Amino acid sequence: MSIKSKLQMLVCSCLAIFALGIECETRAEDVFQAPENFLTEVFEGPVPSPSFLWLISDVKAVANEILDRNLGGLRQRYWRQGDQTVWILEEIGKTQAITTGISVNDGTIERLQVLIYRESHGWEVRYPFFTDQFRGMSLSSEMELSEQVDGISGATLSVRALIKLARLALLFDGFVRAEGEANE
Amino acid sequence: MNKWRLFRIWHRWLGLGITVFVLLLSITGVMLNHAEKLQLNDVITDADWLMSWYGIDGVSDDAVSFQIGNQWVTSGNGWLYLNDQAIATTEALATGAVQTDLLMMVAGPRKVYLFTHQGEQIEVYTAEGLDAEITAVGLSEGRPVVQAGEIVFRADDDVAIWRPYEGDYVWSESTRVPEAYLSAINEHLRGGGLPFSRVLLDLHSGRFFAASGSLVMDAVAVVLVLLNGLGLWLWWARR
Repeated sequence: MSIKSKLQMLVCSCLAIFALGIECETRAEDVFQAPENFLTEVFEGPVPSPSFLWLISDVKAVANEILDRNLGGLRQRYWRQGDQTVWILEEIGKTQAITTGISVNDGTIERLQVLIYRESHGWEVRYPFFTDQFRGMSLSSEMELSEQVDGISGATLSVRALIKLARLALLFDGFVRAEGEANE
Repeated sequence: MNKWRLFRIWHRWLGLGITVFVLLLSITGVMLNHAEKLQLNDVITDADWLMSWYGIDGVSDDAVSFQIGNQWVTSGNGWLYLNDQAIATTEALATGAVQTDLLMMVAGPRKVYLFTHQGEQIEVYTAEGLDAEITAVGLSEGRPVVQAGEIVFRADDDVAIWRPYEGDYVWSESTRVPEAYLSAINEHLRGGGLPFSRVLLDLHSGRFFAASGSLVMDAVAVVLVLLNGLGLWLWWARR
């Protein structure tokens, strides 16, 4: 091969590297369990009609504090059967929302499950070894979880998002129960 | 061919090969060194081609608007606008928008967005019980209806539960984005433009051309070091 040809190859290689500027980070959402299936599973049968918690200023103020951002919306949908309330909530891990189903019974978390995961990293939070930690947790007067949650290295932001959602579900459940008691 | 001649030829062609890159590096480097004096951070560029190159596009061609009362809802580029104000982000283009006495509803293929008439978000949810994606949105006796697959569903009073419906309805119709709101929406999507120093920096690092452009600039730097060594060696050998 002549030197000229080698040089042409070199220049072509450079141009090819330029052309390879393809973003490979995009990732489709992973649906681990459809929200409606989660509801059917936790209620073990017919799902009750949704109820609404109106996000009045008191609720929003604490929710904003937990999320460390402004919680959008004026009402939050939930499903209730006796003392059990179920919440489908979303919070952003790093850049994408993590959809999570949380079942609360009498002020303690009965089940927390990642339903839809859209981030490229940190999907380990979906596994039971992590989500089972939330079982039995309640909300302290400082609006923190009653127990420590062990993190996962490399999934810090997703772990943080799920802790926020667990606290939020417990907060909402508390307001729903307080509302119920006030109406009785 | 003796090895000295071979090295000289390599030296010449490698030098010629990276000329454009060296010029680019030198000019942008000098400008960046004096960016403050030249006030390059204050020079904002918002040329259409440049914004598009950076992926900062204005209203996309597939953006749609829906008239509800005397207001307009526009959906495009992952945003929802009420007139010229951004009110929410969306996963997909809206398929329709309607308003009832109490609220305003916009639907995408999978999600339902509820707002007050002033554009404050009430709720965003995935409509359960619909077996297919929402393809049309309309009104029937003051209540929202949606078409999902072959079936038309109507919402309850809270616009929370959807049930199959067989009565009359009127679909909302999409139009092009009204000219009156186009520039405001474009400005929202594009922000204030890009500082010229940013463009220069990306040219200098090679990232302007592609995500991997910096690798090419790294290669150019390596070639420059090689040329330096080769040149010194040839000069030394000739002595």
